[in-house]
Amino acid sequence: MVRAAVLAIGLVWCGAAHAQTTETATTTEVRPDPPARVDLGRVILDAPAGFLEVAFVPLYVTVYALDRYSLFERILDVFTNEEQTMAYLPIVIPLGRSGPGFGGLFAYNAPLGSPNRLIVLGIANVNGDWTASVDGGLRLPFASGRAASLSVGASVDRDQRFFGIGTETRNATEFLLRQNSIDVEASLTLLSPSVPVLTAEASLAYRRRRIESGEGTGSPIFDEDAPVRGPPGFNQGLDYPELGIQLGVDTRDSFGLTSRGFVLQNRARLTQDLNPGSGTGGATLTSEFGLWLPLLPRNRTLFFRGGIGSSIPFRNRDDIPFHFLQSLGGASRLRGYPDNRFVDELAWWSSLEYRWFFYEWAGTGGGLVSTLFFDVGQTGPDLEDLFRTSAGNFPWSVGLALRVEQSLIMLGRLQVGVSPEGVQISFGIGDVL
Amino acid sequence: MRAGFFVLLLFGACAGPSWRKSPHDVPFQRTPPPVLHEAFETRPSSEAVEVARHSAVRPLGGLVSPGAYAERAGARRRALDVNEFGQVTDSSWFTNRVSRRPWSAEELRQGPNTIDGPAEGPLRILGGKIEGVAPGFVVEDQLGRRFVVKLDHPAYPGLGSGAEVVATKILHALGYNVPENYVVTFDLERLFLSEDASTAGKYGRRVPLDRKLLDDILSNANPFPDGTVRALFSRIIEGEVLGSFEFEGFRREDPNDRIPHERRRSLRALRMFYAWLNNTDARSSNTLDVFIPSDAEGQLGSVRHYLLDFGDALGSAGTEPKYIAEGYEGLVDLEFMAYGLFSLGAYYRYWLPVQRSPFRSVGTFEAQVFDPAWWRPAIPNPAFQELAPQDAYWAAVLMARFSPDLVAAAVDAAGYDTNARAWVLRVLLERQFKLIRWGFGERLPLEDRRMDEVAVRWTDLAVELGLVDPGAQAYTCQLLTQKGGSEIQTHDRPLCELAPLHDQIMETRDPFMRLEVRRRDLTRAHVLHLRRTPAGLLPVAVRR
Repeated sequence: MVRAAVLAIGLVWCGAAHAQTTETATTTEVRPDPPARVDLGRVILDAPAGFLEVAFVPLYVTVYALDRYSLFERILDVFTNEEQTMAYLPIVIPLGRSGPGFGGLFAYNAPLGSPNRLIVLGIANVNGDWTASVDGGLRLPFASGRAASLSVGASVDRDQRFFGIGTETRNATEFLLRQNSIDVEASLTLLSPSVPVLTAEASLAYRRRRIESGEGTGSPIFDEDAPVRGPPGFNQGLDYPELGIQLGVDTRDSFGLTSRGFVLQNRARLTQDLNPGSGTGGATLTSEFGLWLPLLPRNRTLFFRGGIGSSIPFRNRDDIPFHFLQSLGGASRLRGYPDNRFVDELAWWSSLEYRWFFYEWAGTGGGLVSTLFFDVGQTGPDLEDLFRTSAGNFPWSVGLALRVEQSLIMLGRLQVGVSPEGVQISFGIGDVL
Repeated sequence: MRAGFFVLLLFGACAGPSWRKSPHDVPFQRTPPPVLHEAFETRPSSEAVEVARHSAVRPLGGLVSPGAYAERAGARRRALDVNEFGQVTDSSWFTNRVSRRPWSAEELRQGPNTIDGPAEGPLRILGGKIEGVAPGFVVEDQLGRRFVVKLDHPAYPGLGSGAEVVATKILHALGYNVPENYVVTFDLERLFLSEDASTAGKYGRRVPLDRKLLDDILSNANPFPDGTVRALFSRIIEGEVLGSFEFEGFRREDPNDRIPHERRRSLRALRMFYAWLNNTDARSSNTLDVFIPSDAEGQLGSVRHYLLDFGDALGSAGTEPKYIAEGYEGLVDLEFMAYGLFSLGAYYRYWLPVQRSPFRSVGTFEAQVFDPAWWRPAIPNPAFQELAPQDAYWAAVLMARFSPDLVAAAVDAAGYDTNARAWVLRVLLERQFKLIRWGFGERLPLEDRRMDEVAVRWTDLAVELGLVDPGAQAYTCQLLTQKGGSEIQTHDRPLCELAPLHDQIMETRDPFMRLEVRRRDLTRAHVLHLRRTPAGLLPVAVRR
């Protein structure tokens, strides 16, 4: 081994031994090219790079085919119209809790970026989960450019994770629920686009929920004998009309690569189950803010985010619908925990993020942003529980995120959150703070 | 024991100067006439693969390869297309021009051009590309000469065409094969469509180029009030096109292509010249191999290697000005990405103060922030990455041959307005100065050797260019033979007097000896190897 190394170094040195420079001369003698030969020492020393290149041959072949046969353009042409205002996309989800999923998406948006849209989505998983939705929007020129939208959706989730409600969730006991949902929602923006900083939207919805024992083998199935309290309306089909209003302030300098500005979003919703004798209904209020502060020299930002949420029953004896309760966990709040890890009537949450833009693509203003974040929050049945520090057990998480952003929009992000309970990886696309 | 002996033998063999083993002790100046062969198939290439390979896979490979670390530590492979004086010999790749004799401004302005541009009269459009805001066509003039015509972006008149012309003139004078490029202001009325004109349509298919498509193109041409437009006419190179050449390896079909391209000094040193011209698009797709027939039947011939498409030179990015990071960071620059990522954004990009020039015809072209060591093309070029100090020195000497008048002649050929011309010229001269200083490094730049019976004299380019103070310099010279060293001579100019050395030269049994010249402020010596012959002393090699 040592001999081989000495030999390799010797062969490299052999090739590098002769320092040469230039000289001006005017003679015209002929010099034959040296015979082509294999630089053995260098080949040996470069072998790891060679193996890596061989490993990437499939990538080269793919890239070559895409380039040579314009495959990307052809695929784009198959799935979009000529103006690219319409797209049909097959969806394949290779991995997930519910097994592989397959589906399709039809999207129409003209002009691009306007509220005029129609999106039809359908996905089915091999375990029997499915979701289908139709979402349409329209700008109303006769109403000073306000926008109206209507969406209809239905889904079946047979293995929804459930950790209990209230303080029981501290036990981190995970069960599986099945939830069947139907949603119909209409909304209208209340302010014309000529008021860019303020936003207001009213909505009217009908939601049907049926929550039952789940299916699957990953965790215990929730039933009435489980050691935690079940969600309101368990084993019942409940019908909820819903009225909502959302008011906001948005002073961001851009929706992508935001470096300064402030966002405040307040949302209130009311609902009551229509079934005779049902005692499920209430209101939910959430208020959330985001603040971006630029750091010098540039391309670095501090982002603060915080929010509070409260869910209130109309009458003391009423239950609050499960989907109206405040929850922490998932891709936005306490990112080191799974969805609905903490669920209760009251909640607060906050994040501190340090973001830095470290790669720009060809001067386009778009590129990659890295993020370090720290999240902390709490849920509870009353205010005292929310801020009780004696136990010292505020749920928290830290993590890293990689965001792909353009100067106008945020395209997607990959997040890795770490909490005392484990690691959560989430991937998301679209406009998020 | 045997292995140790073998290793010692190997090192000993390698340590011997190659010029002592060569059949001639004279400075070779050109390669032999090429072996004639038939044309071969065009090699397919893909820009996308080039980007993936050189921007992502190769840098990752460099992290895990001892060879890459050895190279960074100085174990660079020497160039193979050079003689014992470090000169690149004339070949189908490179022809010594400004390095062989001083050029006049008029010669440089003429450059590779053999005609005065397209003939007067109608220009028949044979085909072209229609996509993009600055499309191109292929036209034929009345004398049957064909040109690729590139229109400038309507918002940046003169930007792309000016960059092409300046780069063409300078690269040609340096010694490279480049196409004939002409800036022409012509009336659009001269254009007419050939019946069988075609263009690249969707998915690269050929589609007929009709009047409507042509009108679409010309509607974006932004003509002057008199109906004329400024365009670059690039004359189509005669011969059979064989595709582009790679900047590494060699083409096995070509019997004359025997030196790996990354070991050609002419290609390695192109990094210096492209840094001077800020030509960031150094992909292999901007090169061309052309088969030139040389027999009467046109069957046998050889390949000539061209550099093409300098629309990304100076401050131009083809059709628009460069973005400010171009030339300072690669398109997918893993090194800078890692600095930015792992410093948590604290790493300050040194190029951030770069600003676009005030001239639309110039774009983003500056010399203040420019650092020769950090310049890089958009996509890593394997030959550029092999640039060794000896290659950089050779390039610096070539660049030193360009007086301000010669550089001005190249800029004048582009037809800039007065202020833009002054900007481009100033920046080119400042970049040239920085590159020469960097290329010389710690080497003593003694050139233009004059040798007679009395003395050997050189010109110190560093003094001539004002890089060092001429009055404060002192040079020493010593003859080293088999018998030992002579007395050290001290002069205020680079000079070795031979008369005091006569006895020592004649007494030594070994006919090979060397003169070591040093300048006080440098540790490295300029070493001239000599051979004693009946006719006198013959220079056989130079080492620095």
